[in-house]
Amino acid sequence: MTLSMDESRPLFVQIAERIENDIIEGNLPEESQVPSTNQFAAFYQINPATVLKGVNLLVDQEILYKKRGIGMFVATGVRTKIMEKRKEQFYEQYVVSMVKEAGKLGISAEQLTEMIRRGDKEQ
Amino acid sequence: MNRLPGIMKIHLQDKWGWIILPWVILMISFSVNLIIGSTSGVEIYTGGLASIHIYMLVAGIASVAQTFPFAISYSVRRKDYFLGTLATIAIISVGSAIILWALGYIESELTGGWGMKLHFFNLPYVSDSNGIGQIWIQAATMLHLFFLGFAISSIHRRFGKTGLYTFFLAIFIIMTVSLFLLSFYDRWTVIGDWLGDVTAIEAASGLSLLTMIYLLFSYSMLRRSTL
Amino acid sequence: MSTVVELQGLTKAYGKVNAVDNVSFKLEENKIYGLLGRNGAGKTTIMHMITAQLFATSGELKVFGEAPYENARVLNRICFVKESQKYPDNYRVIDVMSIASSLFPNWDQDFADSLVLEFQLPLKRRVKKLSRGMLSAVGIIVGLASRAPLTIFDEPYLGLDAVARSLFYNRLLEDYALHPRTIVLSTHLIDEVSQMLEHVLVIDKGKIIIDEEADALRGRASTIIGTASKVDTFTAGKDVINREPFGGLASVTLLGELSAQEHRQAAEIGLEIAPVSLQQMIVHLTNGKWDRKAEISL
Repeated sequence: MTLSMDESRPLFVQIAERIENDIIEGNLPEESQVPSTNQFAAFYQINPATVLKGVNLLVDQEILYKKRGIGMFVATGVRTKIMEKRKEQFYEQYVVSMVKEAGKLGISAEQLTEMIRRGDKEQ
Repeated sequence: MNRLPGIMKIHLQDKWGWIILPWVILMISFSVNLIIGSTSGVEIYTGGLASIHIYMLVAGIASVAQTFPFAISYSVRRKDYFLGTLATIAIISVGSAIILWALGYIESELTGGWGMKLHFFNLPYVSDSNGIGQIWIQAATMLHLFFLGFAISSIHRRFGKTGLYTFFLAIFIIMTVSLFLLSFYDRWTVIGDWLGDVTAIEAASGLSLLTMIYLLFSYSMLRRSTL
Repeated sequence: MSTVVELQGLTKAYGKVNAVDNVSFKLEENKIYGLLGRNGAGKTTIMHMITAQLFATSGELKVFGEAPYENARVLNRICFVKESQKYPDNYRVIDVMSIASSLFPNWDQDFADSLVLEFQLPLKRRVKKLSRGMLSAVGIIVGLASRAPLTIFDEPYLGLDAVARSLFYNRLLEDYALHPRTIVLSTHLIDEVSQMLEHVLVIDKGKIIIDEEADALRGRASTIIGTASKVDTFTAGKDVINREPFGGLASVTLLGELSAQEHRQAAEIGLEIAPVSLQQMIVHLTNGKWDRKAEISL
């Protein structure tokens, strides 16, 4: 089940990430309404307070905004903003550790680049 | 207290146990007597009516075990459970007493002992009183027996098996000593004379006094009972 | 946010054994709590005291600001569903529902009816004849439809299959969203319910060892894996809650977050750091191997 959460990380962070993913993948276009806290809670079987915390994290980052009495909406221009943020994380999460592991195995920078090209082609 | 109807419902919901079963037993006892009466042709005085009294005693014992833990775990106060039970049993006892009186009336006044001189509902001594008096005697007896059972069972609820054994041991010792003293001072005749003079109504009042003691006692037990 | 339950130094002694030992905590209004711990840790005893079904040996207890014993104002607002619930012998399912409807002031009959259908409960069957799972379903329905401001479920899903359990979680969260109330889920099966909890209380041998927001606990423990000697050097002086050797390697679980610097250090000497789930962490804390130094410094 893709619904299941990672129990070793705070759930509200994971909720925020999932909403961001939906924005990147276009499931939640800009200016569209985000499902309500209770809908999220029921869907993922998570405590509504936890969901709210995740949503508020995105409100603080101005990715979502609140329309009084209606609900939460995706702000304009945030898709690129999230992608920039994710690229930054991509470098730290994947590239740094990849280069480290490559160094351990004696893979040179050229060989690494070649491997990436090959991987890209086979995709 | 708006909770009393709910607590009465806890008892009365068991329609089989409260409404059907005691009368089924009584009616079986009655039928047996009818059959005997019709085949033998002899005038019969029977104590079959006692089946409903014994039923009350058993119901009193069972009641604490069956409904007390259930009621308490459904957020009922111990006091409300007690009052609700008292109200239920009072209504059942009076209701049953009225029915028994009516059956006794049919028996003695309308059918001449169901056409065979059977004395089942209308018994001498009890029927010396008028209608209200008879109903009072029956109701007081049933209340007494129910709360006797209820009080014994509440000792078990409060102090467990050990408490119950201790209680019966104490009762046994008190009885033995009393009987010994009565014989020693040769007071049996006094007791006998006194009992012989007591009317059914007076006896019922005496039972009611005992019932009051059982009530106070069982409430003090249940107040400190836990699950 | 107002406090619904407050325990101050609550103790329940049976002879010389303290089943509940000097326990203090608060439950706030409209949160979902998990009271977690192994069987026999004291969970049920605590809940029995909160609902005035059992008396404390010492300590203070307030529910809705008052002592709960023989207090209708308090008891009217509580529904306690327990695994060991006994019903009168002749009761049918429909009798239990009917009694519950007259005893719980907020009872919603339509909700109860729809739950009976969803859990496929035979209304006319005697409670005594129900399977373990169906018996649990009776408790769940009473607990949900009573909508009591303080609703306590003690091991509510024994014998229920995965579908029925999921149904319970869904209906609980949905109804909680519409009618917020304080809910306590007491269980030794942490995995399934942990996502629904806002706050976690972990009890071990009669003492509360964790009283913390659920989400704040996730990621609080980590496991260090590597050569035994290196692992032991790295974890020396830290709060070790579990250690498992295998061959020349060791896997040690630590409580407390590691700093970025510690992460780097570990990586440099070839140690692997693995995340620990909430469930695993609590298992380690309550398996009896952990030598508690002091109160948990979370």
